Order: sequence, then C-alpha cells, then structure tokens
Amino acid sequence: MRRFSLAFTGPRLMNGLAMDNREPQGRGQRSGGTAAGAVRAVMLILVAIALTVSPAISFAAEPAPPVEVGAGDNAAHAVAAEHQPGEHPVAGEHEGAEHEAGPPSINFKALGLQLLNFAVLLVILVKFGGGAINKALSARHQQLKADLASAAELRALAEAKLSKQEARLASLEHEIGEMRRGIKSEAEAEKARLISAAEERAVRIKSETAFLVEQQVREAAGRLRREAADTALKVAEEILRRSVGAGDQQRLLDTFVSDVEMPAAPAAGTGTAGRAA
Amino acid sequence: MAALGGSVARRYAKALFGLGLAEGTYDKLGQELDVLARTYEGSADLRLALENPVIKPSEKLSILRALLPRIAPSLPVQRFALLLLERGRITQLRAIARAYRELADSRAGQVRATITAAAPLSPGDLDRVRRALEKRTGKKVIIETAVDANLIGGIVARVGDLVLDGSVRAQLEEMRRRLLN
Repeated sequence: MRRFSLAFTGPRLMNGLAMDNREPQGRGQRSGGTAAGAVRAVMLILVAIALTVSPAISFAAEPAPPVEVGAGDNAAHAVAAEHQPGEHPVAGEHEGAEHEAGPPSINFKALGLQLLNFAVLLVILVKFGGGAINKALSARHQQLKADLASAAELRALAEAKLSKQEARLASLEHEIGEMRRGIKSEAEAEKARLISAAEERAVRIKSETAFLVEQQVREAAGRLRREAADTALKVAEEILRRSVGAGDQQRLLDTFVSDVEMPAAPAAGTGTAGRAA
Repeated sequence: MAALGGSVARRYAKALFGLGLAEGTYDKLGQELDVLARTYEGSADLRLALENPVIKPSEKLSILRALLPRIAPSLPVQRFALLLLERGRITQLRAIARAYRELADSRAGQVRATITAAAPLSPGDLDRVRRALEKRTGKKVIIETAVDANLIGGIVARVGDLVLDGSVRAQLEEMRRRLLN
C-alpha cells in the first residue's frame, strides 16, 4: 500500500515541481511570489524524502528476523522486496536467499539518530540556504518571465509582419495593376507631348521656311527690279546721249530758269530738284 | 569731322576777316588768302613738305617764310599762315579761304554760285541763270562755271548750301528711284 503510494507520489511530485515552474508561463496571472514557490518546493522535497524514508520505517516496525544484520543490508532487502516476483530475475534470486536468512531487524536508536541528524540538516538547509534558493529560484523565475515576455513580443511582431506581408502579397496584384496603369498613362502623356512638340516644331519650321522663301522671293524681285531699272536707265542714258541736242539743252535751261525763278520749291517732275548740299 | 573742320575754318576765317575789316583791307586779304590756298592745293611738294611729320617744325616755318613774301605780301596773311602751320591747321587752308570768301561776300551782299552744265553755256544763258538766281536768293550772284558731260543735259547750280539740279542725270536718278520703289 505504501509502495503504491510512493510509486504514485513520485511522478506527482515531479509533475508538481514541473507544474510549479510552468504555471507562470501558461497563465502569468497566478498570484504568489517567488519566495512562496521556493518554500513550496522545499516542502515538497521534504515530503518526498519523508515518503521515501517511511517505507523503511514501516518495514523496520515489523518483527525482527532471527539473524541480525545491518540496517543498510535491511534497507537493501526492503528495496529489493518491492520488486514483483518474476519482474527481475536477479531480484528473485536475492529474495530466495533472504527468505532463507529471515527478516532483518531495525536499530531504532540508530534510526532515530539518523532521522534527527537528517532533520537538523534540513533545518540548517532551510535556515541558511533558503534565501539563496529563493533568490536563485526568483531570479530564474524572473528570467523565465522576461524570456517569455520577449518571446511573446517577438511572436507578436512576427505575426504582425507575417500579416503585413500576407496583406502586401494579397495586394501585390493590385499594385502591379496600378503600376502598369501608371506607366501606361505616363507613356501616353509622353507620347502626346512628343507629338505636340513635333507638330509645333513642324509648324515652326514651316513658318520659318515660308519666311525664308518669302524673303528670297522678295530679294530676288528686288534684285530683278534693280537690274531692270539699271538696264532701263542705261538704255535711256544711251538714247539721251545720242538724242539730246542743242534744242533740248536750251529747253532744259529754260525749264531750269523758270523753276528757279518760282518763289516756291520746284514741284516734282518739273525737272529741277532743289536740295541742300 | 567735316562739320568740325568747317567750324574750325570758319573760326580762323572770322578772325582774319575781323582784322581785315578793322584795317579796311579785308578784300585784299581775301584775295591773298585765296592765292595762298590755291598754291597750297596745287603744289604737292609744298603739301608734302608742310604736312610731313618727319620734317622739323622749324624747317617747315623756314620753308613757308621763304614762300610767303612772293604769294602773300600782306603781313597779316603771312602771320596768319605761320600761325596755321604752328597750330597744325595748315591743312584747313582751303576751307578757311572759302569761309573767308563767304564772309566777304556776305559783307558785300553777294553770293557765289557754281553753274555746272553738260556743255559750255553762252554768256547770254549764264546771264539768264544769274538773274534767276539773284531773284531766288535776293543777293548779287557771282557766277563760276564748270562742265560735266555726265550730266547729259541741263545744268546744276550750287549756291552756298543750296543745290538746284536741273540736269538729265538727276531726272534719270529720279526715274530709277521711282522704278525701285
């Protein structure tokens, strides 16, 4: 019965210890300081020791065997007796040998001294090592809490980043479409601008060309007119040189005299032009 | 530049004319100045000697002093010519003589007219022209004649700053101007 209790209590103890460490991780809201946890751990250790020792005590309370043996040997036999027959072949062989030697006896005095010694040890450990243990456990607890908080924060960041990337990935197609439309509209605008510039340049070139042509035509017409005038004057001068005689000279003189005698300036076409020298 | 030269010539001419007017010899001084100007314009050697910067001013003065008694006996004209040489205005001698003549003509109430014709004019024609110009200017006109065959026909009269052009050449130029415009 106590053996079952030990077997059942051992995993629970270890489980309890583990749960004690896990509790702040999972919930993080549980009350109780680090010191209380450390005290509980120590108490659990003590209970575990007591439960470990109690079977030996109960076994020692049974009738003493005829042959006296040492307490250490009895304990070894007691532990060996906990195994089921057939479960361990070697243990079975030892069991057969012990039945032949009889049940071991317990020296209560030595056991009491050992328990007292152990209790004193525990008191000393709790008295002087409790603070350090508490401190170490508290530091460990705080470290674990900080690590858990950091991990949670990193996880939140990662999840946010993931959601952002997923959202961006989801909108990537839309962005590509927008970019394509933007590029297309820019290309259309550039095309329109180039066409407009080309048309403007064409108009300007056409205008300049027309102006140049007009200038050249005008210049050619002027040159032609000058040449025609020069030719006409040359022909007229030759004709006049041949044809002007004394009568013409006299007529010209008469015209000059009559023009000079006129009080006003000579009219155009009269033959005498007045000008300042 | 020509206007500036004309102004300078008029100033010098006015100075000499004032001197001659004060002494009552402005007509004689004008004649001597005119002879001196014609001599200077007609003699390339004299111009070269008096305008060459290589020749010393003293040598130029000596040359002019040697010539002046034979060309211009009047002392004021000689001093005036030497003054022009010293001031570097000897090149304006012809313009100064012309300005002096204008002053003298203006003083005498007369004006000079240059009549240029394609062929020489008869004295009767010149007299008609002179009378017409006197009627136009209101002054006594002294005629000077010239011949230029390029005029083809007709005459050109230059009276002071006024030019009256009755030549065929002028009519041809007017016809050319109208053709071009």
